[in-house]
Amino acid sequence: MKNIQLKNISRSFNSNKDGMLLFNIFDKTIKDKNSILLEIDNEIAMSSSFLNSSFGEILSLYGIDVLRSHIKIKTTKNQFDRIVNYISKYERVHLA
Amino acid sequence: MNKLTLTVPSSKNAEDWFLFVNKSLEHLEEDITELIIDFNSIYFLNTDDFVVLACLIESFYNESCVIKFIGGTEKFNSHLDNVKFKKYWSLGFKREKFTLSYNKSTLCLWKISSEMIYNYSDYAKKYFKNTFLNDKDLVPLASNLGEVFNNIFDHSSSPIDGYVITQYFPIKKKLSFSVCDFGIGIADSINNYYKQNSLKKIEDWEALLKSITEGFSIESTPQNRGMGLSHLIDFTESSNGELTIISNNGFLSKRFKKNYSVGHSNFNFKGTLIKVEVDTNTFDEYDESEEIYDL
Repeated sequence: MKNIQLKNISRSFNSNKDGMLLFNIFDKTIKDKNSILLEIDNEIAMSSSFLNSSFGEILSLYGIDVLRSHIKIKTTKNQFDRIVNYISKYERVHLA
Repeated sequence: MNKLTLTVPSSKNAEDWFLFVNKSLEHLEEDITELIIDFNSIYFLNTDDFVVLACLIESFYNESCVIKFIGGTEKFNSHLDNVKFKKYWSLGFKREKFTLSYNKSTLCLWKISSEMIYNYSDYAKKYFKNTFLNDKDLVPLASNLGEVFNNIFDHSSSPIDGYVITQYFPIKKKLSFSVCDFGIGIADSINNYYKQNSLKKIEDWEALLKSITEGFSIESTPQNRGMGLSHLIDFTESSNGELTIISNNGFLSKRFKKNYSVGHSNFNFKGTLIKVEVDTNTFDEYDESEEIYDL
């Protein structure tokens, strides 16, 4: 399992463009049948545009089960709760 | 030299403010060379008043007007000096690069620029953490500031980018930020999208309700998923707060645990004003301990 630090991927976590950088990492990991531990610093503020273009796009392409089998997250409980909340909302609104 | 004096309303009523803005903007075509902003007996302005006024001044400044200020109580002028408000439209002042205020509880007025959205949001988080809220997790504050800024660039087509100001009220432990732009407005933007898609026009207040609905998007970019402003309402609801949006002929207000207050306004505001007030007592505690999680 490869460790990836989110803060090393981009300088900001606000735009769709920023989110696509993370999407490309997710996509390559899944296509190469690898797995990653994504480390998310407790100070990083991710906007919905960033999340849409990273987690959202990958969920639309592969679904939550594939994402779960390839990606683990190392972060604080607050950050993890926010990501889980986003994923639940995305699934409810766009994938139901 | 064509001089124009605009007397800032001392009223806290939105209608008075937007009628003042509309009346003032009628003078834009008059080749005004000097704009005098008269604060008369004003002793306090809310964050929303500040950003609306800043957008108004910016509109005249863009027409090469020299900006001057008069009036206001001594205490209010001291506040204006502390937040450097009167310097913003001086030659060489970089309004799009945020600058520190001398007033600890106010994070400077900032002319929003797309390149610095993340910097301002991140700075706001660090600033209030280092000054008043060091035991709190301020990541939601930063991400929601980003949501509002992204909304401006996605939907407003504003001739000026817009202004934001953020203020903390230490006694009440409340934090307020307001963002304003003089663009086409959220309501018109949604109705333009409806028209392009052969859908029936809706009332402006209905459009504002749409704008905060989960999953609703005007698809201005392919990745839009309609999660931004709905995220903002989640933020104010979980923070014992209040969200107010005024745009075109509509207004929307949602206070924690109360019903939506929406309706038709008696003025047509060409633009969007978003005001957020939250109770920082409700913010999560700052959290540093990391664990590995399965999704």
